[in-house]
Amino acid sequence: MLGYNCRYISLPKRGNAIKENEDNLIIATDIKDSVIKFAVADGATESSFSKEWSCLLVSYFKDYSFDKLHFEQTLKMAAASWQSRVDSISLPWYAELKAEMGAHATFLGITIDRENNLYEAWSIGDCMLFHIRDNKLLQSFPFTRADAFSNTPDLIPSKWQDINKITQKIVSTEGSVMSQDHLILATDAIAAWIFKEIEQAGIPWNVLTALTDEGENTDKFEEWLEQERNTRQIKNDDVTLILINFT
Amino acid sequence: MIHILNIIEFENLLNCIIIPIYMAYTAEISRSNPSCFLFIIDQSGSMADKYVSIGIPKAQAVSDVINKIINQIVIKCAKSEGIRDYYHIGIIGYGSGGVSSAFKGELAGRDLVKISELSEHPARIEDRIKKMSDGMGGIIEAKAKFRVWIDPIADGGTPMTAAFKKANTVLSSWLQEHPNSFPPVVIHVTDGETTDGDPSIEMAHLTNLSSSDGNVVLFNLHTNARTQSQLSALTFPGSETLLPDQNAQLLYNTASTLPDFIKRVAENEFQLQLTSDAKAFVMNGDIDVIVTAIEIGTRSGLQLMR
Repeated sequence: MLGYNCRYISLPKRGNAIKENEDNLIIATDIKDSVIKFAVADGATESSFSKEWSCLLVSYFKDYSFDKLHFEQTLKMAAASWQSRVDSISLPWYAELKAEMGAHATFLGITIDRENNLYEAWSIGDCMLFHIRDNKLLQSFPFTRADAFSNTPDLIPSKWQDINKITQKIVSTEGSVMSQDHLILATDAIAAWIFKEIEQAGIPWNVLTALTDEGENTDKFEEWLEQERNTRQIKNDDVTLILINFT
Repeated sequence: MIHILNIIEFENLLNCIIIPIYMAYTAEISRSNPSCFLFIIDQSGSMADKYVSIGIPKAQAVSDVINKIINQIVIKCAKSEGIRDYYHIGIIGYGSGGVSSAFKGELAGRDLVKISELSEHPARIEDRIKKMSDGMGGIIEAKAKFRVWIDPIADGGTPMTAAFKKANTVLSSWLQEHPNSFPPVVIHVTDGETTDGDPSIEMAHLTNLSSSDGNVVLFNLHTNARTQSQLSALTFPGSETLLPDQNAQLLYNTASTLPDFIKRVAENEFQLQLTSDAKAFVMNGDIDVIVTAIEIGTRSGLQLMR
């Protein structure tokens, strides 16, 4: 069976506290020996309770299906859970009005079958998957170019009545992996940087691997991120990454 | 023939290459680097005239719009843990009492107020009837809370020059404290002509104020009680447009040219087709035109919040 190791990092935008990071990720390795799942979600700054919503999305990805057939049903369960959390809190008038508009998030999740070396990924919005083999980009999903990023990506809404509008927008891809391949899941700001590096003939996965380690220490990465933000190479936004290396 | 550069030409060339092109109006709006909206409202006697289109006095309709906009900004800045102070807001009124802050209640007399304070201290909360969709294609009426920070006032003359003098004092001091902010957007609503001399020098002074991210943006919005079919309204005209009189010329000349970030909102979200030199200026606007212009002016900044 294909072996793997993974590293991850999730940091708030500059000026925000760690608890204000609205990105979330999940690494689910206990589903079945041969099946592992990874997901990232990016809660929209414009809405409130986005952090809770992105957290619910990655959690539901672990336990439920996001394929076209089941996506609506899964989302409605997640939305009901979001609503009951919000309803359980007493809010001031402005927060109540804001919460009535719902939360929004982008999402990307991947399921890897290590027995058959296959993966399937689902996405709404601008979280990205990069598949690298022999130091070359084999596939990027859902976008193939840096200029595809915009300020108005598709978003998954938490309001039950808005969900119908988005369920048809989920896109999926498949691929096969082999030993020495790398997969990267990234939220938009760092994903845009990866694209830019690729377009300038850089090897961003090597840079990111060198900056992260398998432990909890994020100092090196944080220092580098600060520098890239200062020089406007990376947009000041929450940053979340999962790096998977197959062995 | 090959021209060999001398040292000065070489240095000039290098400067051309390495000096980055700085884009104005790109500063991040955050809690540590907030921006500012300043409203300047004509409260002279003629603001008591009713808009023909809606049968409501101009002063009432304009104060309703501003109260609604403040409400929207508060909600926009709300997060689950509370309000994020992305903005400071001021409202200057000018009329019979001269020039003063238009805030009522606990905020009376304050020039610029943080969003979190506005959220806590409306002057009062009114019950109003709101029309909303019934979800089946129909319209229903429902009771809604309407928060009020300013009241309609219509009395006396039009001391526009003094109002802009006050605006200059308020914003000069704010910009000193926030030198790298996203520049303040000033929205001036009037229905008449100045009664205290030529305000153009004060207006020019205002649009020359700047942060490191660009100059203050001034919207001059002239409103008229008559409908647009009775009077031709001008909305964000460019230099090719013929202006009806001297007052229009003054308000046109002193308004900012619409920066790209505002133009994008006007074109993409309000489907307006604007010339490249379109001015932040409306002449003879009915209330719906004024509402659109205020929404464009305030919404563009709100999209840049981080």
